[in-house]
Amino acid sequence: MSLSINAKNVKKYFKDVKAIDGLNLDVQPGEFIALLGPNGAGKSTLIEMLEGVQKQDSGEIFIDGYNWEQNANHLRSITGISFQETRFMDKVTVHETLKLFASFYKSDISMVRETMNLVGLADKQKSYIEDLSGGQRQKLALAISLINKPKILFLDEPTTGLDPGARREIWSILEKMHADGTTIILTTHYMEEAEFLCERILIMFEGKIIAEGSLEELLGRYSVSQTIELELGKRPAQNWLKGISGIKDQHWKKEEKKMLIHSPEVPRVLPEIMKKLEQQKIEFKGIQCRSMTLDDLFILLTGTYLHE
Amino acid sequence: MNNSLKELIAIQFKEYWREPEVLFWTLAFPIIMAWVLGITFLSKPVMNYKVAYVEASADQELPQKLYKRFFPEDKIQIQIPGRTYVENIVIAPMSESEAMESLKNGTISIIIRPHEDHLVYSFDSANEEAVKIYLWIEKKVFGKKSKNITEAVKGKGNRYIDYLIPGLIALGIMNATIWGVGWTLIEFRIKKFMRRMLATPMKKFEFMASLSITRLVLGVIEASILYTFVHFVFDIRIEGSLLAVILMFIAGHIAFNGLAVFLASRTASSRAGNTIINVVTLPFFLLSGVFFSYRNFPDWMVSFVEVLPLTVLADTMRTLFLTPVGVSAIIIPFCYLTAVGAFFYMIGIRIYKWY
Repeated sequence: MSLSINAKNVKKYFKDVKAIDGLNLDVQPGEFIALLGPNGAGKSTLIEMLEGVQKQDSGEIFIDGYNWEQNANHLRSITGISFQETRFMDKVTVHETLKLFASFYKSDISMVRETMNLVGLADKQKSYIEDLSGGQRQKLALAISLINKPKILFLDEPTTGLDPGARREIWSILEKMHADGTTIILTTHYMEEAEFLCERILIMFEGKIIAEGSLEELLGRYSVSQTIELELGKRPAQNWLKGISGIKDQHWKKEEKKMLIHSPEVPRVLPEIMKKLEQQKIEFKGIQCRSMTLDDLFILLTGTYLHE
Repeated sequence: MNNSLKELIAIQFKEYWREPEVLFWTLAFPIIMAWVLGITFLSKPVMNYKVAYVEASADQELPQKLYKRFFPEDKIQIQIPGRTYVENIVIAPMSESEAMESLKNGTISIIIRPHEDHLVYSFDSANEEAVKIYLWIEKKVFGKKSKNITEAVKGKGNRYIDYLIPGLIALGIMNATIWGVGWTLIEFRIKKFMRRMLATPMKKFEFMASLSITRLVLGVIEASILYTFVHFVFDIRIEGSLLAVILMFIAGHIAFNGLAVFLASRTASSRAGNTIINVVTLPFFLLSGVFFSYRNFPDWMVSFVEVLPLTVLADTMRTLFLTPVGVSAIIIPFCYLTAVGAFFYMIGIRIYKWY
């Protein structure tokens, strides 16, 4: 069986900016992959190249064993896409919109009803698009991407801007699709989305995949450490932990006035850290020690938050 | 000025400056138009208004001699203070049939016939140009002692409304197609709806054809409603071949469809789209002889206006409405409009920004 996605040494430039820098990626059929990265990391560019919307400057991309240059029509018929932003025709109903897209795939008309039921839009089938809420519009975008029962589904931030309830509803639809054997590639800003849904997480930064694996693998590989979260009155000096061995990394969260410290030897380093706080007369408000999360790992790897 | 007002104004200006298409079409294009028209009218162009002089006589030579009784000069020059151009009223002796033909195609708007010691002017008082010419002649040649009289123009197809309706139908085809196709393309691009559809196996040809067919059908419905109305209210009929009218309708649609695709080929903002379509269609609207004849314009301008797609369509529609001609009469305009449409469509599709 062919790989669902096979990208070899893919590069893409926008003028002088390297958007994708020699990227390699293999995705097995039925896998659920999350692409994580801050804005500008190259997630959307990569997913759009995989979708055939953009063309790579060099390298090769095969989707289900075919390339976009020679097999665009076939690939469009087996893929489903939900773009980051699409507006539909305002004065057209949900049912009419889905019927239109079903006609492009020569899908049976029964797929329209089936898809509406799947995404929970059956009771809105006669509503104009302009009357739908944000979550319902996202569901419609998802429904359109599912109308052809795709083998491979590309979702570019499908839950951005939705409330937690609407997000959960989308997740449950995606879980069903995954259970049916659909290969899904998802870009997201939400760590919990990647943690909850995906088997494999790819962390992108500056056009490269800097880490990949399941959540357990990633945390196991990079986080032999635990995280100490200190709530402080002010930001300490850069080298305030000088002299303490076993500190892997530290990161200041400006808004929350919290210092995150990663260390494999928390019981040993914690008293020394407290001593430093006292010596440097830094107001100490609270402390929490916990296992490393994907969020912490992301900061550790990229030096930035996912939303930055 | 308070800060928020200042910022609001600044942001509007910034957005304006940062759209090169809008800048071109709102600044450069009007300057080019003003320059071309300014040069035309500053160089003292001559606008000639032809007037038919018809004298019932078996002798074809006679009218040429007789009209001198009333008009010592065959040209009446009108110079309105402040205008940089000269307007001439040219007295053109014609046979009755020639005069009728000229009236229908808009070459003339008024016919003068002598009757004993005075003249009878025939024109449609709804036609502003005819009224203007009548008043000029009376003032300049006859003055207060004039015994001349006026009458409503006689004969089918000689009224202003007969001239106007075919032009309005042509204008309707242009507006429905350029706005219908062009604006939809721009809107779909802005909304990224086009990109969404192109991510499916939908054929681009089918998408373009759907827009074109929809607008053609809507255009036919609109024109049919207008025709039915004027037929019953103003007794307007199509004297020529109905098939020829349908073929010209399609040719006009092809021409403006091609132009619409070309105009919408790169535009990605509603502001730019609106401006481009307006700026291109406005000269057509004003110059193409829909409301008044363009044949009084300076000669070089007439040669330019004559090849505008709307002029070709309006003129041919007028011929088909007013004279009993068949399909053979539309071969050249049909081919011309189809070629114009194909030409712009090819360029438009070649440079088309699909995503």
